[in-house]
Amino acid sequence: MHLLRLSGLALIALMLFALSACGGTDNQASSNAQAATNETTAMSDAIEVDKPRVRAVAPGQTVTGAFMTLSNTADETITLDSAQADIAAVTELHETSMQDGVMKMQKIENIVIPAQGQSELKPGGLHIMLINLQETPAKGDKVSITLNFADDSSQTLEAPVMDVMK
Amino acid sequence: MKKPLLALIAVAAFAVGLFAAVTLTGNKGVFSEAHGTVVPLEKGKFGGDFTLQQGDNPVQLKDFQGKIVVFYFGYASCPDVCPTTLSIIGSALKKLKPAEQEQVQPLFISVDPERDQGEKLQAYAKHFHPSFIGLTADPDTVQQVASQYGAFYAKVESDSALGYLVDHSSKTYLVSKDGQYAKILPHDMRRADLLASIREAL
Repeated sequence: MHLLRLSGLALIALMLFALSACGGTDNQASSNAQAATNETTAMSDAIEVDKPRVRAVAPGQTVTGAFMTLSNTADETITLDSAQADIAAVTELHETSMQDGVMKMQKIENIVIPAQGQSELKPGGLHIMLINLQETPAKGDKVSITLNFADDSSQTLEAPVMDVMK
Repeated sequence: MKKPLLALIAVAAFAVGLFAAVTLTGNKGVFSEAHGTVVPLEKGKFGGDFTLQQGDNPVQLKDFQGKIVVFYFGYASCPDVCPTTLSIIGSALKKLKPAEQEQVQPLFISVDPERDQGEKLQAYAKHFHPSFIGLTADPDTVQQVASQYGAFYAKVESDSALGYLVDHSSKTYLVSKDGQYAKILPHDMRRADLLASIREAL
Protein backbone atom coordinates (compact mmCIF):
# COMPACT_ATOMS: atom_id res chain seq x y z
CA MET A 1 0.00 0.00 0.00
CA HIS A 2 2.71 2.36 1.08
CA LEU A 3 4.80 1.36 -1.85
CA LEU A 4 1.87 1.86 -4.22
CA ARG A 5 1.21 5.36 -2.91
CA LEU A 6 4.88 6.18 -3.21
CA SER A 7 5.04 4.98 -6.78
CA GLY A 8 1.83 6.93 -7.50
CA LEU A 9 3.47 10.09 -6.20
CA ALA A 10 6.54 9.34 -8.24
CA LEU A 11 4.40 8.96 -11.33
CA ILE A 12 2.70 12.30 -10.71
CA ALA A 13 6.07 13.94 -10.16
CA LEU A 14 7.31 12.42 -13.36
CA MET A 15 4.29 13.68 -15.27
CA LEU A 16 4.70 17.18 -13.85
CA PHE A 17 8.33 17.13 -14.85
CA ALA A 18 7.44 15.95 -18.31
CA LEU A 19 4.81 18.67 -18.63
CA SER A 20 7.20 21.40 -17.52
CA ALA A 21 9.80 20.03 -19.88
CA CYS A 22 7.31 20.21 -22.72
CA GLY A 23 6.37 23.73 -21.73
CA GLY A 24 10.01 24.63 -21.74
CA THR A 25 10.47 23.33 -25.23
CA ASP A 26 7.39 25.19 -26.36
CA ASN A 27 8.65 28.45 -24.93
CA GLN A 28 11.98 27.92 -26.53
CA ALA A 29 10.39 27.12 -29.89
CA SER A 30 8.19 30.19 -29.83
CA SER A 31 11.08 32.43 -28.83
CA ASN A 32 13.07 30.92 -31.67
CA ALA A 33 10.23 31.70 -34.05
CA GLN A 34 10.09 35.20 -32.65
CA ALA A 35 13.78 35.64 -33.33
CA ALA A 36 13.40 34.21 -36.82
CA THR A 37 10.53 36.58 -37.62
CA ASN A 38 12.60 39.48 -36.41
CA GLU A 39 15.61 38.40 -38.38
CA THR A 40 14.07 37.27 -41.66
CA THR A 41 12.72 39.87 -43.98
CA ALA A 42 9.73 39.57 -46.24
CA MET A 43 8.58 36.25 -47.72
CA SER A 44 9.23 37.64 -51.18
CA ASP A 45 12.96 37.87 -50.37
CA ALA A 46 13.09 34.21 -49.37
CA ILE A 47 11.62 33.04 -52.67
CA GLU A 48 13.86 32.35 -55.64
CA VAL A 49 12.18 32.09 -59.02
CA ASP A 50 13.66 29.74 -61.60
CA LYS A 51 12.79 29.08 -65.26
CA PRO A 52 9.81 31.46 -65.50
CA ARG A 53 7.97 31.10 -68.82
CA VAL A 54 4.67 32.06 -70.41
CA ARG A 55 3.11 29.88 -73.06
CA ALA A 56 2.99 31.44 -76.54
CA VAL A 57 -0.59 31.54 -77.80
CA ALA A 58 -2.41 31.65 -81.11
CA PRO A 59 -3.59 35.07 -82.33
CA GLY A 60 -6.93 35.93 -80.77
CA GLN A 61 -6.41 33.49 -77.92
CA THR A 62 -7.43 35.19 -74.68
CA VAL A 63 -5.93 32.89 -72.07
CA THR A 64 -2.52 31.41 -71.38
CA GLY A 65 -0.48 29.89 -68.59
CA ALA A 66 2.68 30.87 -66.75
CA PHE A 67 5.05 28.33 -65.26
CA MET A 68 8.14 28.52 -63.00
CA THR A 69 9.91 26.88 -60.10
CA LEU A 70 9.55 28.63 -56.74
CA SER A 71 12.28 27.80 -54.19
CA ASN A 72 11.85 28.70 -50.55
CA THR A 73 15.16 29.51 -48.86
CA ALA A 74 13.54 30.20 -45.48
CA ASP A 75 12.92 27.79 -42.60
CA GLU A 76 9.19 28.45 -42.67
CA THR A 77 6.47 27.62 -45.12
CA ILE A 78 5.66 30.43 -47.54
CA THR A 79 2.28 30.88 -49.15
CA LEU A 80 1.70 32.48 -52.53
CA ASP A 81 -1.72 34.10 -52.27
CA SER A 82 -2.14 35.62 -55.72
CA ALA A 83 -0.37 36.82 -58.84
CA GLN A 84 -0.93 39.55 -61.39
CA ALA A 85 0.38 39.64 -64.94
CA ASP A 86 0.62 42.98 -66.72
CA ILE A 87 -1.04 41.73 -69.91
CA ALA A 88 -4.03 39.97 -68.31
CA ALA A 89 -7.19 41.49 -66.88
CA VAL A 90 -7.42 38.60 -64.43
CA THR A 91 -4.66 36.35 -63.10
CA GLU A 92 -5.55 33.23 -61.12
CA LEU A 93 -3.79 30.31 -59.47
CA HIS A 94 -4.87 26.98 -60.93
CA GLU A 95 -4.15 23.31 -60.61
CA THR A 96 -4.58 20.58 -63.19
CA SER A 97 -4.88 17.06 -61.91
CA MET A 98 -5.50 13.65 -63.39
CA GLN A 99 -8.35 11.79 -61.72
CA ASP A 100 -9.55 8.43 -63.05
CA GLY A 101 -8.23 9.14 -66.53
CA VAL A 102 -9.83 12.58 -66.68
CA MET A 103 -7.98 15.90 -66.64
CA LYS A 104 -9.54 18.36 -64.26
CA MET A 105 -8.51 21.96 -63.88
CA GLN A 106 -9.55 24.10 -60.97
CA LYS A 107 -8.92 27.48 -59.45
CA ILE A 108 -7.07 27.24 -56.14
CA GLU A 109 -6.76 29.65 -53.21
CA ASN A 110 -2.99 29.60 -52.82
CA ILE A 111 0.22 27.74 -53.52
CA VAL A 112 2.28 26.59 -50.55
CA ILE A 113 6.06 26.47 -50.88
CA PRO A 114 7.50 24.22 -48.15
CA ALA A 115 10.34 25.43 -45.90
CA GLN A 116 13.67 24.92 -47.68
CA GLY A 117 11.68 23.28 -50.45
CA GLN A 118 10.26 23.91 -53.89
CA SER A 119 6.94 24.19 -55.65
CA GLU A 120 7.11 23.51 -59.34
CA LEU A 121 4.56 25.28 -61.51
CA LYS A 122 4.44 23.20 -64.70
CA PRO A 123 2.01 21.95 -67.36
CA GLY A 124 -0.32 19.32 -65.96
CA GLY A 125 0.08 20.61 -62.40
CA LEU A 126 0.15 23.92 -60.54
CA HIS A 127 0.22 27.00 -62.74
CA ILE A 128 -0.67 30.67 -63.02
CA MET A 129 -3.52 31.42 -65.42
CA LEU A 130 -3.54 34.64 -67.40
CA ILE A 131 -7.15 35.35 -68.33
CA ASN A 132 -8.63 37.95 -70.70
CA LEU A 133 -5.35 38.90 -72.29
CA GLN A 134 -5.29 42.53 -73.34
CA GLU A 135 -2.66 41.77 -75.96
CA THR A 136 -1.35 38.61 -77.57
CA PRO A 137 2.19 38.11 -76.32
CA ALA A 138 4.60 37.16 -79.12
CA LYS A 139 7.39 34.63 -78.74
CA GLY A 140 10.41 36.35 -77.24
CA ASP A 141 8.32 39.01 -75.47
CA LYS A 142 8.59 39.32 -71.72
CA VAL A 143 5.56 39.31 -69.49
CA SER A 144 5.81 41.03 -66.14
CA ILE A 145 4.26 38.97 -63.33
CA THR A 146 3.93 40.07 -59.71
CA LEU A 147 3.71 37.36 -57.06
CA ASN A 148 1.88 38.36 -53.85
CA PHE A 149 2.71 36.43 -50.69
CA ALA A 150 0.79 35.85 -47.45
CA ASP A 151 2.70 38.56 -45.54
CA ASP A 152 1.69 41.16 -48.18
CA SER A 153 5.19 41.21 -49.61
CA SER A 154 5.55 40.83 -53.35
CA GLN A 155 8.08 40.06 -56.05
CA THR A 156 7.90 41.05 -59.71
CA LEU A 157 9.58 38.96 -62.39
CA GLU A 158 9.91 38.97 -66.16
CA ALA A 159 8.83 35.74 -67.82
CA PRO A 160 9.79 35.13 -71.47
CA VAL A 161 7.09 33.94 -73.89
CA MET A 162 7.84 30.58 -75.53
CA ASP A 163 6.39 27.28 -76.69
CA VAL A 164 5.87 25.21 -73.57
CA MET A 165 5.89 21.42 -73.68
CA LYS A 166 6.89 20.65 -70.09
CA MET B 1 -15.75 -42.34 -66.75
CA LYS B 2 -16.50 -41.24 -70.27
CA LYS B 3 -18.23 -38.05 -69.25
CA PRO B 4 -15.27 -36.43 -67.49
CA LEU B 5 -13.08 -37.32 -70.45
CA LEU B 6 -15.52 -35.67 -72.85
CA ALA B 7 -15.62 -32.64 -70.62
CA LEU B 8 -11.83 -32.55 -70.59
CA ILE B 9 -11.73 -32.73 -74.39
CA ALA B 10 -14.31 -29.98 -74.61
CA VAL B 11 -12.31 -27.76 -72.26
CA ALA B 12 -9.09 -28.48 -74.16
CA ALA B 13 -10.76 -27.73 -77.49
CA PHE B 14 -12.14 -24.50 -76.07
CA ALA B 15 -8.69 -23.50 -74.82
CA VAL B 16 -7.12 -24.23 -78.21
CA GLY B 17 -9.84 -22.24 -79.94
CA LEU B 18 -9.41 -19.31 -77.57
CA PHE B 19 -5.64 -19.38 -78.04
CA ALA B 20 -6.06 -19.42 -81.81
CA ALA B 21 -8.59 -16.58 -81.66
CA VAL B 22 -6.33 -14.44 -79.48
CA THR B 23 -3.27 -15.17 -81.63
CA LEU B 24 -5.02 -14.63 -84.94
CA THR B 25 -6.81 -11.45 -83.92
CA GLY B 26 -3.70 -10.31 -82.04
CA ASN B 27 -2.44 -8.82 -85.31
CA LYS B 28 -2.12 -5.11 -84.69
CA GLY B 29 -1.43 -3.98 -88.21
CA VAL B 30 1.30 -1.39 -88.52
CA PHE B 31 1.38 -0.42 -84.88
CA SER B 32 3.36 -1.86 -82.00
CA GLU B 33 2.06 -1.76 -78.44
CA ALA B 34 5.05 0.35 -77.34
CA HIS B 35 4.01 3.60 -75.58
CA GLY B 36 0.30 3.01 -76.17
CA THR B 37 -2.63 0.69 -76.76
CA VAL B 38 -3.54 -0.60 -80.21
CA VAL B 39 -7.20 -1.17 -81.01
CA PRO B 40 -8.76 -2.48 -84.23
CA LEU B 41 -11.27 0.00 -85.64
CA GLU B 42 -14.65 -1.63 -86.09
CA LYS B 43 -17.82 0.29 -86.68
CA GLY B 44 -20.17 -0.16 -83.75
CA LYS B 45 -17.35 -1.36 -81.49
CA PHE B 46 -14.58 1.18 -81.53
CA GLY B 47 -13.76 4.14 -83.72
CA GLY B 48 -15.22 4.38 -87.17
CA ASP B 49 -15.70 7.26 -89.56
CA PHE B 50 -17.06 10.63 -88.51
CA THR B 51 -18.16 13.87 -90.11
CA LEU B 52 -17.23 17.12 -88.40
CA GLN B 53 -17.04 20.74 -89.58
CA GLN B 54 -14.07 22.90 -90.47
CA GLY B 55 -15.93 26.17 -90.45
CA ASP B 56 -18.73 25.51 -92.94
CA ASN B 57 -16.99 22.59 -94.66
CA PRO B 58 -17.75 19.02 -93.67
CA VAL B 59 -14.64 16.92 -93.03
CA GLN B 60 -14.69 13.13 -92.73
CA LEU B 61 -12.07 10.84 -91.28
CA LYS B 62 -12.08 8.82 -94.48
CA ASP B 63 -11.06 11.95 -96.46
CA PHE B 64 -7.58 11.26 -95.10
CA GLN B 65 -7.31 7.61 -96.04
CA GLY B 66 -3.74 6.93 -97.13
CA LYS B 67 -2.45 9.24 -94.41
CA ILE B 68 -1.81 8.59 -90.75
CA VAL B 69 -4.36 10.68 -88.89
CA VAL B 70 -3.32 12.04 -85.50
CA PHE B 71 -6.15 13.53 -83.49
CA TYR B 72 -6.83 14.96 -80.08
CA PHE B 73 -10.03 16.06 -78.33
CA GLY B 74 -9.76 19.27 -76.31
CA TYR B 75 -10.88 22.87 -76.14
CA ALA B 76 -9.13 26.10 -77.03
CA SER B 77 -9.61 27.91 -73.72
CA CYS B 78 -7.92 25.05 -71.86
CA PRO B 79 -4.54 26.70 -71.41
CA ASP B 80 -2.71 23.81 -69.78
CA VAL B 81 -3.18 20.21 -70.84
CA CYS B 82 -4.50 20.74 -74.38
CA PRO B 83 -1.81 23.16 -75.54
CA THR B 84 0.85 20.97 -73.93
CA THR B 85 -0.32 17.92 -75.89
CA LEU B 86 -0.86 19.95 -79.08
CA SER B 87 2.67 21.40 -78.72
CA ILE B 88 4.05 17.86 -78.42
CA ILE B 89 2.15 16.83 -81.57
CA GLY B 90 3.29 19.94 -83.46
CA SER B 91 6.86 19.51 -82.35
CA ALA B 92 6.89 15.80 -83.33
CA LEU B 93 5.59 16.74 -86.80
CA LYS B 94 8.36 19.30 -87.18
CA LYS B 95 10.87 16.51 -86.51
CA LEU B 96 9.61 14.57 -89.54
CA LYS B 97 11.11 15.01 -92.99
CA PRO B 98 8.84 16.95 -95.38
CA ALA B 99 8.05 13.75 -97.33
CA GLU B 100 7.05 12.04 -94.08
CA GLN B 101 5.05 15.05 -92.88
CA GLU B 102 2.92 14.86 -96.02
CA GLN B 103 1.75 11.43 -94.92
CA VAL B 104 0.43 12.67 -91.58
CA GLN B 105 -2.75 14.66 -90.96
CA PRO B 106 -3.19 16.21 -87.50
CA LEU B 107 -6.71 17.10 -86.33
CA PHE B 108 -7.79 19.04 -83.26
CA ILE B 109 -11.37 18.21 -82.33
CA SER B 110 -12.94 20.82 -80.06
CA VAL B 111 -15.43 19.49 -77.52
CA ASP B 112 -16.45 23.10 -76.79
CA PRO B 113 -18.36 24.16 -79.94
CA GLU B 114 -20.01 26.94 -77.96
CA ARG B 115 -16.71 28.85 -77.73
CA ASP B 116 -14.57 27.29 -80.48
CA GLN B 117 -15.72 27.89 -84.02
CA GLY B 118 -14.64 28.69 -87.54
CA GLU B 119 -11.59 30.85 -88.06
CA LYS B 120 -10.81 31.19 -84.37
CA LEU B 121 -10.64 27.42 -83.94
CA GLN B 122 -8.60 27.03 -87.12
CA ALA B 123 -6.13 29.73 -86.01
CA TYR B 124 -5.78 28.02 -82.65
CA ALA B 125 -5.06 24.62 -84.22
CA LYS B 126 -2.63 26.04 -86.81
CA HIS B 127 -0.64 27.73 -84.06
CA PHE B 128 0.75 24.30 -83.11
CA HIS B 129 1.53 23.18 -86.66
CA PRO B 130 0.51 24.63 -90.04
CA SER B 131 -0.94 21.30 -91.16
CA PHE B 132 -3.40 21.11 -88.23
CA ILE B 133 -7.12 21.21 -88.98
CA GLY B 134 -9.46 22.43 -86.24
CA LEU B 135 -12.79 20.60 -86.25
CA THR B 136 -15.99 20.67 -84.28
CA ALA B 137 -19.73 20.21 -84.82
CA ASP B 138 -22.99 20.52 -82.95
CA PRO B 139 -22.73 19.20 -79.36
CA ASP B 140 -24.56 15.92 -80.13
CA THR B 141 -22.26 15.05 -83.03
CA VAL B 142 -19.14 15.89 -81.05
CA GLN B 143 -20.40 13.73 -78.19
CA GLN B 144 -21.07 10.90 -80.62
CA VAL B 145 -17.56 11.05 -82.11
CA ALA B 146 -15.95 11.28 -78.66
CA SER B 147 -17.82 8.21 -77.41
CA GLN B 148 -16.92 6.28 -80.59
CA TYR B 149 -13.29 6.70 -79.54
CA GLY B 150 -13.78 6.31 -75.79
CA ALA B 151 -13.02 9.97 -75.10
CA PHE B 152 -14.77 11.64 -72.19
CA TYR B 153 -15.54 15.27 -71.44
CA ALA B 154 -17.90 17.19 -69.21
CA LYS B 155 -18.62 20.87 -68.71
CA VAL B 156 -17.98 21.94 -65.14
CA GLU B 157 -19.06 25.22 -63.57
CA SER B 158 -16.19 27.03 -61.85
CA ASP B 159 -15.52 30.14 -59.81
CA SER B 160 -12.76 31.07 -62.24
CA ALA B 161 -12.97 34.11 -64.48
CA LEU B 162 -12.69 31.57 -67.32
CA GLY B 163 -16.33 30.69 -66.84
CA TYR B 164 -17.05 27.01 -67.24
CA LEU B 165 -14.20 24.55 -67.53
CA VAL B 166 -14.19 21.20 -69.29
CA ASP B 167 -12.95 18.06 -67.57
CA HIS B 168 -11.71 15.71 -70.24
CA SER B 169 -9.68 12.62 -71.05
CA SER B 170 -6.43 13.56 -72.72
CA LYS B 171 -5.41 10.85 -75.13
CA THR B 172 -3.84 11.16 -78.54
CA TYR B 173 -5.21 8.89 -81.28
CA LEU B 174 -3.29 7.67 -84.32
CA VAL B 175 -5.26 6.05 -87.12
CA SER B 176 -3.31 3.87 -89.57
CA LYS B 177 -3.23 4.77 -93.29
CA ASP B 178 -5.68 1.96 -94.11
CA GLY B 179 -8.05 3.07 -91.34
CA GLN B 180 -7.95 -0.39 -89.76
CA TYR B 181 -6.21 0.33 -86.47
CA ALA B 182 -5.88 3.08 -83.92
CA LYS B 183 -3.05 3.51 -81.48
CA ILE B 184 -4.00 5.38 -78.34
CA LEU B 185 -1.27 7.28 -76.54
CA PRO B 186 -1.77 8.30 -72.88
CA HIS B 187 -2.00 11.85 -71.49
CA ASP B 188 1.66 11.82 -70.46
CA MET B 189 3.08 10.78 -73.82
CA ARG B 190 6.46 12.21 -74.73
CA ARG B 191 7.39 13.59 -78.11
CA ALA B 192 9.69 10.60 -78.71
CA ASP B 193 6.79 8.18 -78.05
CA LEU B 194 4.60 9.89 -80.60
CA LEU B 195 7.39 10.20 -83.13
CA ALA B 196 8.19 6.47 -82.86
CA SER B 197 4.50 5.61 -83.20
CA ILE B 198 4.13 7.77 -86.32
CA ARG B 199 7.28 6.34 -87.89
CA GLU B 200 6.23 2.72 -87.43
CA ALA B 201 3.00 3.47 -89.32
CA LEU B 202 4.51 5.46 -92.20
